[in-house]
Amino acid sequence: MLNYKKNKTAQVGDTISWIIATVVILVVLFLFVFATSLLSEGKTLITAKQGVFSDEISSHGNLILMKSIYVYSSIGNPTIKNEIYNNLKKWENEKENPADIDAVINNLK
Amino acid sequence: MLNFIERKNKLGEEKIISIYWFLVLILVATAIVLMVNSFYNSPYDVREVESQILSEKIADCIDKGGKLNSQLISNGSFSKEFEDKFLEKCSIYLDYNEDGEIQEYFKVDIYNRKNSLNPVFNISKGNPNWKSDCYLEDKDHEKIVKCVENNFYSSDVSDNVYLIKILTIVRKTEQNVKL
Repeated sequence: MLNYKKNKTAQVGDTISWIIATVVILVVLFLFVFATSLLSEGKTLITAKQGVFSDEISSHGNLILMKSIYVYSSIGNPTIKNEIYNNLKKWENEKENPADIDAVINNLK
Repeated sequence: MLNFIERKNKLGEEKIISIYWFLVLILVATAIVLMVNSFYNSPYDVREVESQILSEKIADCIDKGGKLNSQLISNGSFSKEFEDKFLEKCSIYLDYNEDGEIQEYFKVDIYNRKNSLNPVFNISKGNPNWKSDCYLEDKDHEKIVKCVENNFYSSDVSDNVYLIKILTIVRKTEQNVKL
């Protein structure tokens, strides 16, 4: 009689641990599925201005930036030159141009 | 006798456990299929890159070899004909969706260096309806269009410097966002 009772308690304990294990597995799976759906929503090709080009090309500036650099280097008037440089620096700080303007200008010299 | 019963019990328990493990295996396999399906079924959003490429193509057409395109400006005046035939002259093809709506919009503002408030000339093509969507900050609306703004300097043959601002917008939501 006592043996039967002891067996029952052990079986209940076993069952509970199995149920808990199942719940843990389900929760972990659900978390993974949820994380995947979040990842799939944000599938974006790297932003256009940062990262499309290799580091080597980025350091030389992109195509649009080079047009401004060409004007900067071909214009003789120092006031206009200064104005262009200041605006290029401003755009660099606003992250409109990913390249380091000073490095690009130094590369040309 | 007791040993025999214990052995039988053990066999039964093993059977139940193997069924349980089989069910767990099915569950894990289903979850993996779900994850792979959900990840590879959603498209890559390439609109920002597409918008930048369009912007570069426009910039390259307006500014050739470091100077403003001679077809755009001659003797200090901008050509209306160039504006009208801009798409043909720059080999730009705008895309339509199934409903016949143009999926891109672009605007080029050319400013005199001294006055960056009022453009001396502008060109805009495509569907202007997308323009207002650029300025929405709501998370749900962010997915509607992708906008890229680029500024650069150019000069004409007389070395007059112009500031050029290009705004390009690409919609193509259906192809780039999981709805």
